[in-house]
Amino acid sequence: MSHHKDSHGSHEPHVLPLSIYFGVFFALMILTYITVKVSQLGLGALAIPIAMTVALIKAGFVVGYFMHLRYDDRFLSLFFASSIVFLGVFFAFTVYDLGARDTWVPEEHTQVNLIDGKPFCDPEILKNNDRRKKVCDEAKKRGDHGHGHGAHGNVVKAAAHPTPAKRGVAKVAQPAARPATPAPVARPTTPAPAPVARPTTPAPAPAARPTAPAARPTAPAPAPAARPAAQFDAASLAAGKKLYQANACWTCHGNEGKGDGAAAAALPVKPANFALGNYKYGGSLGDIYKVLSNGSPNKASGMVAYAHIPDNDRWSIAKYLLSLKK
Amino acid sequence: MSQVADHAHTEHPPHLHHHFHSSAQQAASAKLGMWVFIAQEILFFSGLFMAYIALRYLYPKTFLAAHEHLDVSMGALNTVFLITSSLTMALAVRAAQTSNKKWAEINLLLTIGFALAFCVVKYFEYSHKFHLGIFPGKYYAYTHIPGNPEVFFGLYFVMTGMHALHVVVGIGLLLWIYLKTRTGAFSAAYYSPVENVGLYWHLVDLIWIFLFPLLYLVK
Amino acid sequence: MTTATDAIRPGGGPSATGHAEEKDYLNVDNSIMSWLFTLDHKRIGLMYLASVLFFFFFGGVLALLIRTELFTPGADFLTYFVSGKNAAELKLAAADLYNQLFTLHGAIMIFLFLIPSIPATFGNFFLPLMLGAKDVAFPRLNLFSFYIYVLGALFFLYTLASGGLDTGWTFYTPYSTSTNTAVIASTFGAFILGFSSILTGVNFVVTVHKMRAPRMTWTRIPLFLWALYSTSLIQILATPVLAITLLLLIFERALGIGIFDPAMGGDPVLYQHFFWFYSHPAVYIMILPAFGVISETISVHSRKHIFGYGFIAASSVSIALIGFLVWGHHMFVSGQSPLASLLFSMITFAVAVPTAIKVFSWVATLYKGSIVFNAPMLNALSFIFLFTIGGLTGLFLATLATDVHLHDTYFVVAHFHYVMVGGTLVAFLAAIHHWWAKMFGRHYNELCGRISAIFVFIGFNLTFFSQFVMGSQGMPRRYFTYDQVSPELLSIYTRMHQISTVGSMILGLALTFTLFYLTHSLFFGKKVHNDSDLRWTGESMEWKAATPPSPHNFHEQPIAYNGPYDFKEIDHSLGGGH
Repeated sequence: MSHHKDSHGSHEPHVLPLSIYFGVFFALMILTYITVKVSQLGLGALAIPIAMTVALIKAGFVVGYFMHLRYDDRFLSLFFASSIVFLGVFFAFTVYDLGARDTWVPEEHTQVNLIDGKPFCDPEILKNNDRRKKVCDEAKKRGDHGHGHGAHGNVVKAAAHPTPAKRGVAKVAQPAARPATPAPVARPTTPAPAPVARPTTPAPAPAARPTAPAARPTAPAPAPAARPAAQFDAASLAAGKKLYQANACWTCHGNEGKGDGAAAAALPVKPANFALGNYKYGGSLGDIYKVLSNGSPNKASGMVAYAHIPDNDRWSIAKYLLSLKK
Repeated sequence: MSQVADHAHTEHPPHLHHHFHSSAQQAASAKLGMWVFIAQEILFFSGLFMAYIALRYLYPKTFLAAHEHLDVSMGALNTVFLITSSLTMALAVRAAQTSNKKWAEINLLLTIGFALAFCVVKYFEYSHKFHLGIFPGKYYAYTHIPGNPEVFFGLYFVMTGMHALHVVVGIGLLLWIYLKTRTGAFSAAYYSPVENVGLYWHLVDLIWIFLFPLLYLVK
Repeated sequence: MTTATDAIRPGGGPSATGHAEEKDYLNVDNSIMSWLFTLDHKRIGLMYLASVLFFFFFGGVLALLIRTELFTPGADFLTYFVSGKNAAELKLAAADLYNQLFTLHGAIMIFLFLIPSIPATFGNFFLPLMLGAKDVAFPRLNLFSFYIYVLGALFFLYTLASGGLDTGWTFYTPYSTSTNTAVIASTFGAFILGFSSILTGVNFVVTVHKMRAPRMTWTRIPLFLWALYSTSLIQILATPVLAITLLLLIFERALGIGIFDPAMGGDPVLYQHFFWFYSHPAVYIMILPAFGVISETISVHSRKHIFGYGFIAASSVSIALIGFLVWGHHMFVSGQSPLASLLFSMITFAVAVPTAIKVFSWVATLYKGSIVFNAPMLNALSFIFLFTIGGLTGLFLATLATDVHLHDTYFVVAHFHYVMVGGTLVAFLAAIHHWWAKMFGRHYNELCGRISAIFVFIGFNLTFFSQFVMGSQGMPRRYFTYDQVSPELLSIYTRMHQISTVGSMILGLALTFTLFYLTHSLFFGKKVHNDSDLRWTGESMEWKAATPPSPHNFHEQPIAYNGPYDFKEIDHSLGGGH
């Protein structure tokens, strides 16, 4: 508003002397040289702060002189600065959360190697992609010993891999390109938790959200629960099975632990389906033992405490229940 | 001003749109608009930089290993090209401000030349990557980098690709300004398109100033 | 600047021509081309109005389908729209359809109606008028942003035609990278719509800064413009982050670049940070202009200087700024770090302060004013009531512990509908009635207006208050059926869903009725011949233009000798005037 006093014609442009432009240019060149040289020193943790400081100085020169901001309307500087402030807000909160979200996991445990994993060597995709087929075939040839890098990590990855996000890919779950990716390990972790007190889940959309937190799977977690049957001796499993029958667990949970016992239909809270690995309050042996001893934390549930069964027997039942997971 | 400025002045410069009172108001509006747009661009790229921070935080070793496969000398050459083009752009604006048509044309041509050189170098970089089998995302097919390199290169292609897109748009704008300069449309009285395209071009340089060390020099 | 609008200029001084022959912006040129290529902000505003209303009713029909399905606990209504071999298949197909319905309802209402609703229509129309300017700063850019709005909308229609969308309007990864619905088309549509929004914001900020009438100081700008200005700031600073987020999502889906998709090594919580960094401020893009409308209507229809002008203006800006610091409250249960949640929760409470300042100021403006209960005023009062409920229930959700219980239940649904429908839509209705005569030069039927306002209020409360109740009882949102619960809960849910469905029918009828009598008045309404025919006028500059305004808004540059709320006929000692 304030500059209206002049007529239609010229408002005098603010012309900077040539020396400023060339001075800034040489400064930028020298700073570029410095930043390249410094990066070759291998400064480790200091490298990023130094590189960013140099970049900020360069940016300052460009904005201040090439873009005239130093000599222009103050409001322009304010607006420019505000964009930087909001960028800072965005970075600060997100980075803060990123750092504080979970305990640090070494990257080898979380990285996903597409060459070993399914999306990369998915037969569907390979059909129209010769170059990739070649890579996959080579990878396959190198076989069980794993190739060049990260062979050890691959096994862990394979376990972590098929957790939440795999809905789309799960369909093509034929034994994957490499034998080192044991499909059976992958299976049991997939089923989504069935709704508890809430009504039937419709289709996918709601499921998309709950997966998020689990989605950076800290690899070790699923592993121990994954191979249950092998861990327990046959004797205690047989005892557990007998106790399961004797204590009428089957009336609700069904003969094969599928949650389809005769009484199940009438219950407001549906019994757990052990065959699907649906241990509602945790899938470890201890968790199951706890529910058996104390009853379900859900008060609406018909799963009351079975504390009257002797301690040893309760452990046997728990082991048996864990072994039911297919 | 107002009515006086609106009606009393019979001469009406051809560049002045009817809804402005004066050239000064029009130029100031255009420049403010450009700066507001630049603020928008900064926030737009902030998403890419934030993704970079997050993934680098998750995969520090991979990033270190993967960036070795970018050619520092190519990156540095491109930095030099962009900085020089920024200089010639600033000189072109200065030439327009001083009504020096000839200099404005030469400097705009130089700017376009450096921008094209940048694209050529980028083309060689990309085609070398593709030759090795370094494609973005799930098409990645290069096995000699340990860790999770497709994440780094996915990000590399998106960041440099978005920047390259801005360079290409910039070349289009520069050509337009160059052609208008040749018709003698700009002078000390009216140079706001040159100035604003210049601001845009400096922004492209500005983003590269951060992209270069983050992608090529992260050791 | 070009053809259509220049045609009228040469006629010499406008005062020389008689009033009767004078052309207004509507009849200056009737050809289709003169509309499609117009650079007149008023015509662009009207084109936005038509498109926005089209999509509003489209999204509304989707909402009614959802409500009809939920009338009964089981799957029935939607099964008539799908095919399947047996009952189980039918139910699954209907469930898929249901997911698509709520997704498209959300996406269309938010991206195609709520975000452009007030700023792009009334903002475009009245911002230059209220500033005393001839047009916005960049008229061509303005037309361009309308056309990219249309382009974005076409992408949404394409989505509908090509398999729909079932991700929810938030496009959360990893589901959105693996579902086989048309995610790319719809996200690209939203990406384009984002640029429409950004360019409108750029235009408004520059116009407010550079095109104000002489003597219009920052304290003489109408509060509607303060609200639009704050909105524009958000549009400029937040929308680009959405743009890049959606672009990355498209790359993620097409190429698998591994930024958000955990199967490729990415981080899905990062997606939520990106998304909500825009989408929370976007809530204020939707509601701030509504605040502005209410400030105008309350003041004009109680003929009283607005109470606390400075505070209302400052609270608009501060809501816009604080709005950037609270996005994490959408992520309390998503695996965000607890300490970050705590911070976001605290800052969220801070938003209540400027919001309360506004509500108190409006109520104080009403105090001892000469209130007229006409349609805009009834809508404005309804806004204050509904928005207060919507705002206060937001505090429940901002509290960490209660949020864990209420998250993803109908309580949340009710909360944001109280803000978005009870807030933005009702303010939109207030605005359309408030300015109707000025915009079109014809009167709507006042009795119909009042009836509509009352029935919207009743229908709305029936629809959504019941949702608060069932939400607090644990009814989750986005569920297709609710028959698998205990008999006790089932009876609560069923009753509440039935009330809600009946309410939504009333709301739908009331809004259709509104559309009907407003359209009717366009052709048959009583004509406004001169300003004394207007049922009310205000002191802000849009009322000083002709009715309807002429193509260049003002014949002579208006000068802001007084503030926008200095009503001449009333006692100034009561108001908080200068």
